[in-house]
Amino acid sequence: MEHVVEIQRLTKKFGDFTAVDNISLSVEKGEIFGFLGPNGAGKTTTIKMLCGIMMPTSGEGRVSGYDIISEQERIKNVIGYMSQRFSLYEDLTVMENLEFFGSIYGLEGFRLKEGIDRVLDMAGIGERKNELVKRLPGGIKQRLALGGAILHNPPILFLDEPTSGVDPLMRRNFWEIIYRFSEEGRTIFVTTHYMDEAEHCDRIALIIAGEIIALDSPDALKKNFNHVVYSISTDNFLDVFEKIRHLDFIVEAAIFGTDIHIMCEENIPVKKKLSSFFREHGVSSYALNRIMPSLEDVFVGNARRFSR
Amino acid sequence: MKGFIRIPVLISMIKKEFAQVLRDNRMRGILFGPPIIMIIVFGYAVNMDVNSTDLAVIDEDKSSMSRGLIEKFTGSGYFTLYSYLHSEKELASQMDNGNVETFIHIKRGLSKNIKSGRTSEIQVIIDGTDSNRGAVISAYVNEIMQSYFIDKYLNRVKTVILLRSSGVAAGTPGVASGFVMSKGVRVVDRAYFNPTLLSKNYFLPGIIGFIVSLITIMLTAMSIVKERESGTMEQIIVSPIQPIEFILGKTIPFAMIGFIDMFVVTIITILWFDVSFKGNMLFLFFAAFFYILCTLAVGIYISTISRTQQQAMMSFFLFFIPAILFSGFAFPIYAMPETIQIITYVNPLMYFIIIIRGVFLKGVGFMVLWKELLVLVIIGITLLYLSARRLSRRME
Repeated sequence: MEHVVEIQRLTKKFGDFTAVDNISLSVEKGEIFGFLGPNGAGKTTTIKMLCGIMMPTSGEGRVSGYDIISEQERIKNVIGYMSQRFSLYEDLTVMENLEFFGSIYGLEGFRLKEGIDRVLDMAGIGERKNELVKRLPGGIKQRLALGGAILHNPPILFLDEPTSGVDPLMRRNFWEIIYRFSEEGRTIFVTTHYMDEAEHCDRIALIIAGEIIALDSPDALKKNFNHVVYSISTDNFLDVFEKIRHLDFIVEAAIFGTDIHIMCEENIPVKKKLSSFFREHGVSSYALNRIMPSLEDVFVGNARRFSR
Repeated sequence: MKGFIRIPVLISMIKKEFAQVLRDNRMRGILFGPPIIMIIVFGYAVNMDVNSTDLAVIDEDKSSMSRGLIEKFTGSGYFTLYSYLHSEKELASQMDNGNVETFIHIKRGLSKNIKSGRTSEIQVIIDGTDSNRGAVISAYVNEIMQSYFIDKYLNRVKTVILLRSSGVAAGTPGVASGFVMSKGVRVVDRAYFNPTLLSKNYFLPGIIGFIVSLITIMLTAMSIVKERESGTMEQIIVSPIQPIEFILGKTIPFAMIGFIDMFVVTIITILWFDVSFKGNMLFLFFAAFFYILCTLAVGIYISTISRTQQQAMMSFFLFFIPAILFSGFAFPIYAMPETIQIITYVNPLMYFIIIIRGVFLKGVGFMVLWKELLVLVIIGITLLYLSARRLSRRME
């Protein structure tokens, strides 16, 4: 497989603070690679280093074969970047924005027109092309921003939290576009803190405090998770939740609807321990089932392990 | 690719800047409104000329000679008779209130003394709170006294001019100049280049420099900072646009606007305010080009030290006020302490104002002003190079 993005021991420090700590990974051509982590985990910093707009403190990396330290200018031509903040001109029209961004990527004449038509079509905003961007609703702006990033038809896309602040319907729509890009053979590197979005990715890296704590496909991450997750159904779920949440063999407890999900380390006789606990505390009617961990469980479990 | 400026990129940058500036109410407001309002307001308001000053008189002589003198004052157009007073005590309160600026005390026996060959004294007291104005009034008084007594009894009149509240100033108590000269000799002052000595002739050309600086610095700094504020800068940086293309795209439109503004206010100065233009317009705009290089550089520099438009505004004033104060625009540089004068040597506005005034009032050009022009070229290119480098480092 062809590695489109490759980084080794990449580190970025701001003074004493280490934003990205010695991370290594590689992304294959056509892959949707997710970067999942809380705010401040170092996702944006990593993307900025890959896009050639921030110098790493140490380590090395290549994007499309170009060195991220010495060949930043070449990288800029083969990538599309969509930043966390909406970054088109609000005071220009859709067309003016696309014409401007197209031209700074060196598009002219027919190629510019073709690129713009493709974007208008993709974002479905042909009929609003002469409106000022600030008048457009959030979801359309988001698609337009994505369009701005792919005007020059880049083989690699870096999307930094592209769906933050977008309603669920628009998010789904947005991901359909991303799938289409992937089918066209584009590589997509996307950061998010939405678990459901991470499920859409071919592979995901969990990043916390600048370190990658797990990296695999969503299914493999769940399968290889070294914790087990149980669902407890009971009448008085709020009371029960309060009682069990601090038990020493439970790593994490959370309420899901009217059920309680608990996460425990492997090789612990959870059923036995729980039933004796419930007997002591007079909880008689309950159902305990082992369930498949969600990505969130995986994330939380790994984060716990990491912070210990 | 590096180092090769792509003209289509430049054109689309410039197009975009104009679209944004013309669409943004705040920016569009800066473009032509303030320059035109400023030149008009300054043209009428910044006036150091004394056209009318209120006069109070104690006439103890009550002769045809004393009345003639008072008429000479009021007929000059510079003095308006406010009231006749009876004692110097009244004067003090009138002057403290600001009702009266000039006071003439004609002692009893003036006419008799002079006619019989003795000398006599006329006391003039001028409000010296504004020392410049006091000096101007004092000069008028001298002029009127001189012309009134010229043929008759010049060497017998002693005018004592006192400037009140400014201590010893221009009109040091003593004998006014015209009266110590021997009979028949009269000094006639004539100011070259600004014969009527109107302050608008002096100030309005200076204001042109002021306006060009304001517009070009503000627009450049604001438009760059705005990109940073709104996050579009990031999208620019991640694109293959070269810093030099970005910088040219950010400066050419504002240089053009600066030129248009300068042209408009120059025309208003000449046609509306009748300030004579003696020199070569082409030379003036040629020099303005290099001055605008300096202001664009300052604008870029401000953009590199400001994160928000408010900060840019603050930085702008921190630069602009000293630049005006030390430019010779209002306060003559020769009167500043030498250490401060050194600061003015690096102030591009000082050179530009010398050039504008030279071209406007003296009609001189390259032959006389080449030194100032050369300094502007050097400062302009150096500053622009340094701030462009600073901005492009921040972009990479």
